[in-house]
Amino acid sequence: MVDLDLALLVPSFALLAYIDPGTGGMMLQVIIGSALACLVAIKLYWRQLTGLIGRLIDRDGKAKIPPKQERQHESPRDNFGD
Amino acid sequence: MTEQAEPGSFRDPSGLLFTRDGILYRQVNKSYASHYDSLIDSGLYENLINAGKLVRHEEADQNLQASDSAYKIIRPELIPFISYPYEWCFSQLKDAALLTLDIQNQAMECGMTLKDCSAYNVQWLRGKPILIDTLSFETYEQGRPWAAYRQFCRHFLAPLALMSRKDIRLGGLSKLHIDGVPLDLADRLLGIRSRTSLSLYLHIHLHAKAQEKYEDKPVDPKTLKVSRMALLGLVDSLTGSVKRLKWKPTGTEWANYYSFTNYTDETFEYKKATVAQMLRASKPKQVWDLGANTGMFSRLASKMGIPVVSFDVDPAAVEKNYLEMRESTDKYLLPLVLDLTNPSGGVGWANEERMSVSDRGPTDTAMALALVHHLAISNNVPLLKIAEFLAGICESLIIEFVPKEDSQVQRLLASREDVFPNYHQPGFEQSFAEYFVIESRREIKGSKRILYHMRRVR
Repeated sequence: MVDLDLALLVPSFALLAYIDPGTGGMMLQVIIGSALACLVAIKLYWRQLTGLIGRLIDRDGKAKIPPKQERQHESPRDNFGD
Repeated sequence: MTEQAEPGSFRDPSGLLFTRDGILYRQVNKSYASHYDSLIDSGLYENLINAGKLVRHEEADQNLQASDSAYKIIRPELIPFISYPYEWCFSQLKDAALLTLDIQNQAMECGMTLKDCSAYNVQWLRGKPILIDTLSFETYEQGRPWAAYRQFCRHFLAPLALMSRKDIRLGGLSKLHIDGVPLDLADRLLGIRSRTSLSLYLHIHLHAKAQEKYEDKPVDPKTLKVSRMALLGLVDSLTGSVKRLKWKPTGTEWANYYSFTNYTDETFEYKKATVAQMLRASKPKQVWDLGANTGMFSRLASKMGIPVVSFDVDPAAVEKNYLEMRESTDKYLLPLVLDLTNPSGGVGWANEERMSVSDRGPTDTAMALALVHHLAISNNVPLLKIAEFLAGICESLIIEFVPKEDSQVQRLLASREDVFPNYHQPGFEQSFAEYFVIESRREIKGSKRILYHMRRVR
């Protein structure tokens, strides 16, 4: 016999996805997912590379160029993406 | 004890909002317990609270529960004025969209994800957008597609693209479609030229086509696998898409309003000083500025630390007002788009899910400066009806009467017949005396206009 309370505590996609995600939207994620993953991976590596260069320059006593992500967090208008 | 469920909180089985003895609580249901605990234990809640991105709450007495399915009862911080996406200007919707995507990124870092992306879950607190639905998160399961992707596109991306690329007034579509603009409609309205943008092509055009193709082909979501990196890529692509959408207000009705008024600088300063004096006399906890234009007079109240909702019909004026507010980090101002001749009504299920403007009042003080002539003469609303409406939304009123001799009224009458024999100062005072008592009356020096401070009597 299933313990009802325990069953309720198990994460369940069907129970929580109370909005209809739309089959088309999910299929689209499967189809374009790999390409978007490649693009964001390139972006992340590029940020790491510029961050590394920034740190190397800093070590030489010159002005540090912070990676883009850090710069965004420093901005008080972090959410306002203009 | 009196308990009342909030009419807009019934779709999500994770919990519900209710008021008990006038205090707002949110019940977290047992079915959501593990996700709520993850939100707290993963540090996501603390991160978002520290960044001012999620509404703060405190856990309340379990005995306050609205039903037996309660796991916890929480008491969220109150939002001074609930507004809806169809009342926001372009940049407000854009900032709300970017906040939502930013929260999704932070949630992914903590092993969670947003399970819904409703624009109605974002509100304005202390001048910034904030997520108010604490139960919007769920534990991320490796390989699952993002369930809220379609809702994000319908609630945010589609209206923003339509407002930016076609016409700002298409933002009003969100009022007709309470769960966001249908993607096939957005695709059709955007037309073929919008497909030159890769991200709009993907998230709106292809998305709409995929919806159409798979509409009658149910797929078990468990069989669909989307990597974590793909989800990050999806959010990154949506963020870029939203950021690239821009709208600059030009050539609008009120853009140059203040250059065409009857005021000299001295008269204008006198009017500001008089309004400030009347505001101090009425000591309001909240002000609604009706027909606020770019919010010049709203700022008199916000600078006194009084929360002000600054309404105007013109999306360009509201955009300017919002951008200035954002720049100055004004914590008390909330600019919103509102057509007073057709104000936001109750919409959604049973006309109760989203409240009408009147239901969100009454406010302590309403300001109606240089407004009455537009309502009475441009829109043929009798003075008595204007007084009746204003009496329904405020306790006290700061109102300006603009007589027929004023050049603004002459301009309105230039192209139409004068069918307003009662539009004069005694007629105005007589109509408003039905609902208000005049506390003070001041002629604006250098003009024929009169400012009144009134108190509601019935």
